[in-house]
Amino acid sequence: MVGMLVAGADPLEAVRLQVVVLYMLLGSVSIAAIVVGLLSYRSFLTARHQLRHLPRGG
Amino acid sequence: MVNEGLTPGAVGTAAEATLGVLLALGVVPATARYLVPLGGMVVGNSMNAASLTMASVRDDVAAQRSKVEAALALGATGRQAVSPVLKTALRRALIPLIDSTKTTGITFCRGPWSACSSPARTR
Repeated sequence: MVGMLVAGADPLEAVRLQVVVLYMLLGSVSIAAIVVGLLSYRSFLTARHQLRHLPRGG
Repeated sequence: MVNEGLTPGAVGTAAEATLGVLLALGVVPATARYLVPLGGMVVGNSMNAASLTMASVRDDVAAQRSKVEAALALGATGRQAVSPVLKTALRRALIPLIDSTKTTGITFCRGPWSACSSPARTR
């Protein structure tokens, strides 16, 4: 947004784009985090729903 | 411990969903001039959040092990037992992004004059 303002774009247009970018990032980061969370918990559980022994550290 | 191969799938899903909606609604013209920076921002921040989520899940499951095992002992399925830990992990993974939204509208210059960038960092 700062680049657009420095380049002489209309401030309202720059703000519109910034708001679009903001919501886009919020949505995409949330979706990515949810997908990773829902797919990754299985590696801590065995097939019989038991918690594996997790090594410390790493 | 956690499968690192999950990141491309998650980032791809997130990028498809958000950029697909933007293109379908016609908010952004489908030119390289818009898609390259927007795609870069989406992929960069999503990868960041995916790594933070996996690290938080791993650390929280190890730290709250007794809570998860108590839920499992009381008859919860694996997913039900892990879900409170997942919630805290997700909340923690979203902290950097939500923190960057606090400075929206305020020009946030960290480097020299020519390197000023908005809080949504373009990579």
